[in-house]
Amino acid sequence: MKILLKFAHFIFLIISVILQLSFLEQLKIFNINIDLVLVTVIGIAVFEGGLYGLVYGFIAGMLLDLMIGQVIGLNALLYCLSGFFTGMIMDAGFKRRMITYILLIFFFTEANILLTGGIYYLFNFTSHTAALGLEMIIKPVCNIVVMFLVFPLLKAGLERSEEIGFKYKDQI
Amino acid sequence: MAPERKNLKNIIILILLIVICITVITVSFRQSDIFTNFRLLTLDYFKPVQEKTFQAFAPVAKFFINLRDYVNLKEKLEALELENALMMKDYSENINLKIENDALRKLAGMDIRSDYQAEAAKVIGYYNTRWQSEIIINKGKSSGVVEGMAVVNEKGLVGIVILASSSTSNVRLLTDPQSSVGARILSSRKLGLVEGGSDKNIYLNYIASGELVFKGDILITSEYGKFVPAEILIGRIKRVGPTGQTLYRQIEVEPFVDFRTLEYVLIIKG
Repeated sequence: MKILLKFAHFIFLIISVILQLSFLEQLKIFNINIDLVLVTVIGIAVFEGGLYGLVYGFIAGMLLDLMIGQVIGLNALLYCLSGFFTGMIMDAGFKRRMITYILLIFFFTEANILLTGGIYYLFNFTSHTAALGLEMIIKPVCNIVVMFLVFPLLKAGLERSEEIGFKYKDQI
Repeated sequence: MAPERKNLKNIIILILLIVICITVITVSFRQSDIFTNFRLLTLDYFKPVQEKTFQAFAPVAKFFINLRDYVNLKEKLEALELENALMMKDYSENINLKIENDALRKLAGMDIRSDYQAEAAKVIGYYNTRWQSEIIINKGKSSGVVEGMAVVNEKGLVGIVILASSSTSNVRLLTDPQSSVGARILSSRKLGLVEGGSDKNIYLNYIASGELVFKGDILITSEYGKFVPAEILIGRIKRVGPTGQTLYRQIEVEPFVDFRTLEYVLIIKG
């Protein structure tokens, strides 16, 4: 059952990559888009643990980079770091509560924006400060809104699996 | 598994993946072709599902885009009606000029310019961040598309093909910070480069500070591009920076194409 759930999360991740490219990139607020893949990776790390966050983050990022990335490997690096550190934070004893989720999404979105900007700056791209400021305000809010849709879906599968595991625990 | 061992395992995997990522970033940024084949395979593999998803979600995306446009619909309509009236006047003048031009070309023994061979394509993916603006289209090498070809729609130049797999292609839009297209100011015939800025606007660069440039001037592609044909509409000058402070003028361009609503495009094959 657990393997099936992990596989379902993996499929969910691939769907989020496809949706990111086919749909969400068109829905922009002040030219800033929602990062569904990041939200999904963080969600998986919260519910499945840091190792899955790390590996799934790497796979999703690399897929995104191979499909459309300008610097291949950048999204893979950022998403796998986000997945790993989310898992570490959850292991440190934070409870699975809404406020924790919101803070995680906020923190990792900001970190991703700054890290992406920093890496592109190292590669000689020019950065527009006003656009960076606007992105740092709007993007976390958008991602938090999406979190309210994504996290219940990821959690639903998990709760169901725990329920079944508990019910047949004595028979196994 | 003990928590310490689990953590150690995670850290080892993290270090391994970071090393892989840094290696991939370095190699890919040096324009190595090692990853090109992987990219082409990925694009081809995901094309069917991406095409269907884009098609399925297009009405929803359109609805939200249109919702934003309703805010200033009245002003837009008035501006379009005015523009339409002016264009109708220009249209009749242009037909006469074309007939005259063809007759003169015949007399001078020059070839009459033929229309370009073009391939219609559908947009199946969109990626627009601060650092990058690209679309994925559903035509590739199997349809004769190669890197460097110009992509247009009914309003003007959309971008340039930067990667072509067998069934899909990635097109770098004019708003991409790495985009650069040779351009000519229609009225003064001055040459410059239309480049994307980091603020997602596009600029006409390398026009000397002393040159006279007017707001509203129309920009077309120059005749010096290898694949990009001349005289394709790009946009009109929106803002001209002050003279004297720098070697070149800062000129902001308003593209004719609305990059948010791209659905079908034409790839110009020459």
